[in-house]
Amino acid sequence: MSAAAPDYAQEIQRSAREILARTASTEGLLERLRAEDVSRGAWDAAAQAGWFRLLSGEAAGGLGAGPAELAALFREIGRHLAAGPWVDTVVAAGLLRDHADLGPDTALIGYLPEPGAVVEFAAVADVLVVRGPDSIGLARGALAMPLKSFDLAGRPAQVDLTGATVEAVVEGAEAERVAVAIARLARVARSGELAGLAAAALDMSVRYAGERVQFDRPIGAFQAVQHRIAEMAVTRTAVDSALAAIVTLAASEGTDAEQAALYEYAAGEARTVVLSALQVHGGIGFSAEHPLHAYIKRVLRLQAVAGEGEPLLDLGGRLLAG
Amino acid sequence: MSAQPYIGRSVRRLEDPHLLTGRGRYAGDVSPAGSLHMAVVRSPLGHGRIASIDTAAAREVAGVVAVWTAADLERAFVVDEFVSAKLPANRRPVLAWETARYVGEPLAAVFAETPLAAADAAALVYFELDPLPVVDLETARSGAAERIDAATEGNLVQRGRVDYGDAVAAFAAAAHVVRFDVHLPRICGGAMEPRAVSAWPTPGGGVRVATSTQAVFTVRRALARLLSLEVGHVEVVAEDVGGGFGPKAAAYGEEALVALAAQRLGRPVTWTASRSEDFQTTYHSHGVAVAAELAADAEGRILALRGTVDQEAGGYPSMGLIQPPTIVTHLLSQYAVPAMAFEHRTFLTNAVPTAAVRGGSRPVGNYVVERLVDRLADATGLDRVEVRRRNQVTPDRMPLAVEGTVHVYDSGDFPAQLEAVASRIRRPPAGAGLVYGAGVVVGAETSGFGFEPARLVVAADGRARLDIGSTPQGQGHRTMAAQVLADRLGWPLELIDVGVADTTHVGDALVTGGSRTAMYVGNVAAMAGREARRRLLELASEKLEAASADIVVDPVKAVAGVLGVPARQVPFAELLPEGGLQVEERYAPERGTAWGSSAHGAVVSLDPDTGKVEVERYVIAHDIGRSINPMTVEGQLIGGLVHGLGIALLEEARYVDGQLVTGSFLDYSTPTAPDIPREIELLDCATRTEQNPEGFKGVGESATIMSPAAIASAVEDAVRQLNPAAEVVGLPLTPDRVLALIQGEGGR
Repeated sequence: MSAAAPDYAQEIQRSAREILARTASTEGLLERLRAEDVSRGAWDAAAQAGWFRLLSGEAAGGLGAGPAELAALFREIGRHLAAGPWVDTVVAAGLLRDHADLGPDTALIGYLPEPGAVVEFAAVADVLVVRGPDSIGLARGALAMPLKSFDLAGRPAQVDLTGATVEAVVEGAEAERVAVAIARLARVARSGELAGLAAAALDMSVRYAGERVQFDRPIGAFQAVQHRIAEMAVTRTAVDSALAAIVTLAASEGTDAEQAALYEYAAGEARTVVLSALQVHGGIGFSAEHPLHAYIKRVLRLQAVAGEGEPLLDLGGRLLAG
Repeated sequence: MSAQPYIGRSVRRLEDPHLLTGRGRYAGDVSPAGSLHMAVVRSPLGHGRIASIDTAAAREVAGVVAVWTAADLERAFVVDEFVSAKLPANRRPVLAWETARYVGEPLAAVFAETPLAAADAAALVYFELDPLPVVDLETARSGAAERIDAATEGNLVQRGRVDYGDAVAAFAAAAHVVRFDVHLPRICGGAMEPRAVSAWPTPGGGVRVATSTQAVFTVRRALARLLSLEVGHVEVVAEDVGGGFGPKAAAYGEEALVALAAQRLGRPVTWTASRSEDFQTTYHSHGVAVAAELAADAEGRILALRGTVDQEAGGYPSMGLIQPPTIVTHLLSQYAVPAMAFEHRTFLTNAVPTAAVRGGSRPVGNYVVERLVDRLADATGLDRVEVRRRNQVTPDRMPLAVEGTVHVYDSGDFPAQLEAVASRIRRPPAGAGLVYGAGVVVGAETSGFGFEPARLVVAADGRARLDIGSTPQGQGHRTMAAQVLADRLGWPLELIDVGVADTTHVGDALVTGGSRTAMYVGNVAAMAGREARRRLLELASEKLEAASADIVVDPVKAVAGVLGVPARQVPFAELLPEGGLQVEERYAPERGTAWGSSAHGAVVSLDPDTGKVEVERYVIAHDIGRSINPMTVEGQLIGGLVHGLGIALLEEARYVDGQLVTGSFLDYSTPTAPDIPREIELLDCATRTEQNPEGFKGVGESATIMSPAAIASAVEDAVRQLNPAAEVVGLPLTPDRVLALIQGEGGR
């Protein structure tokens, strides 16, 4: 990966925020998530802006960007809760475009890291990329079995490869290298999303605390609410710190366990933020009538992706403590 | 061999992590993206002639892809493989032809892009049914009923006799003759997961089917015939099944409809039964009238049994036809019966077909004979335990072939079981407004038939993969087979994977039912393990130039070496053929039936004001042969007991004028947590059987078989403290029936 200029990440973030504010507005968020599986407006704009070649090499028409830019992009995707196979398409497909023709930039891509894995948006994916024992290939004739999802922005499905053919595009040691890179950068992307979700939940809470009036005062005037929001801001910062560490580890090729531990930590802290936001909102958002609901569920879903629990948290704590 | 045998250890179930972490996949979950949804138009009448079916309006609904009636399917039908294909009535239309024979019988099927469109369109299928007289067991027996099937005179689809000894002489010479007539109601399987099926076309022109079944190969055979495909082109899988209990052993019309639609429409198709559909159309069991007499000498020794069994088959013959002979067999219980004369008849009726529900009617046979023996105790003035003691087959008489039948009591210490239970069951004194009753019964269960296959591959990395064709629904097939294989192959459990319920893994297999799996799958797993070990040692012995007996195998390191010569080792990779060591075995014994047996004791409390019965304490002394995993055995026994408790106290599927009036869990009551006995004591009285190499006997249905009789006996004991003349006959013993017994109005 080529080293992009340091402010390139900020540039990406600014541009992403502008594009998503236009194409995946959080006004009417719930209606948008109910109306379409993939946030199509955002998806097409993303293709045009070159997000799906963010990680690809310049030879493949890509931007050759790295983990910092990736994190910046996903922070905005999380903040706007844009639905779609973003991680698999930006990360897995982005890296593979150096090796294979994956079709037009607007293609929805699903990545199956192992047989039986759950793949987001596999049912609507145009291309399924499959990690085999010695290769990474494109599957044809695979069947996606949609699963019920509590995450409003997710469409998980199980992929049945019985009767499918897989055409290898990367083999041997190179396949192993690409698979490892996909796993690490996917973690960066998801951590970025977590940071964006937490930031959005904090913003919503601050706004709500200024609007909602009780006893003739906005609730934000009460110390109890102020303290809670202050705690949320601290916790949000912890998510950002974990994200920065995850990015650094990805760039310096730190161990998988360290990265996974930090992810577990970030997900736990993001969860604290969105659940605190629920308290600030007086419980509104517990049911599916307020956008906060979608944020909470997305965080819970992203936390479940790690799913490794206590031992990783311990390791994450030690790493952050230096 | 590993230092510690796995057989006999309560290892944790290999199935559970997958289920407990929400990774279970049931047929309704296995629905490919873009599936069409099926809705079925069903008969609202128990018996009616189809005058017309108009599908025009349904076809107009947006999203509807096809609407079928029998005419669209060239009158496709399913042949039930548990019934002779030569029986003319053994043709169950996939969609009804001229008449509908039971409420819920499919008349038409709608396939649409969404479940809502399918349901809307199904409601717009207009049909006219001319009502025909409804036939139930009573009218069928009278001989005067409307004929349901043109080829079946008098609606009689099966009759048979079991005759041995001189019953006539025995009854003439008897000091005591007691009689017991009962009509036991239909019961449901009541699986948590309703039937569900998905199918999709495969590249080679075949179909793959995911279904909620007890027998993937039974479904495959039925579908291959219907779709005119080689069996190899029909793949059937059942990844996880949320309960079967017997009725899911059959191939159903909905499986045929979904597979036919996948084939003809070239799209994935899916269907999940609603709870109401499941109650109406998933096969029931029991529904049988037994009139029996027992002759005994002055000392209370049984001389003979005679009587009749009249069984309802429902609208089409299925496994219900196996029930009458099974009932008669299980009238033997644990007793020496010198003569028997029984006639059985099976009638078509206007209700959903009958099949097996846990026990496959063995509970009916056991209930009848144990009630007769309680009557004999009344007639002779003997204690209920004593009269049993006098009639049990004792170990010194085994193996005892039962004259005139195929049955052999091969093993079991029946008296020991009876004494163990009798000494632990005491009726508590009445108090706090309740009276108590106690009952002790005995029984035996035949299990084992057919064959089972296994395919074992030992890979170069030391992992052993065993594929069995059997289809589990929670029994723990994987754990059981892995434990047996681990011992016979000499392998750690952690290196064993077991694949189940997939027709692409092995050639052919039979149903999970009849308490046969531990015996059949267990034995074939052992055979595969032994054979693989023999060949592994042979290969190593050749390579290492050492005697087989001196070869040491280390599966964890995936190496074989020579005893006492650590330097001489060869990795599996250099030893095994390409693709690993492969072994295929088939267990198909000529006589594979073993008798499991047990004694049961129940203590019940009875509220005289409300008629409410609760089972306070329950003891089972069981002989299931060698126990593979005592923890799962315990689970099977307790689960079986709860099922039997349902039969005794709660469950009745009732038809009125051809309408199922117990079509939901509101009306059809099954046991729930508060109904479980407060104290359950299980006593292992295992004896060795020589009927199969591993010495396994059946357990899955064991506790269901004896528990209705034990609970009924205890309830009768309780009621007699209030009304000494009371006799418990009919089941279930619901509070209204118990109050009638207390008030002397008869409980039939």
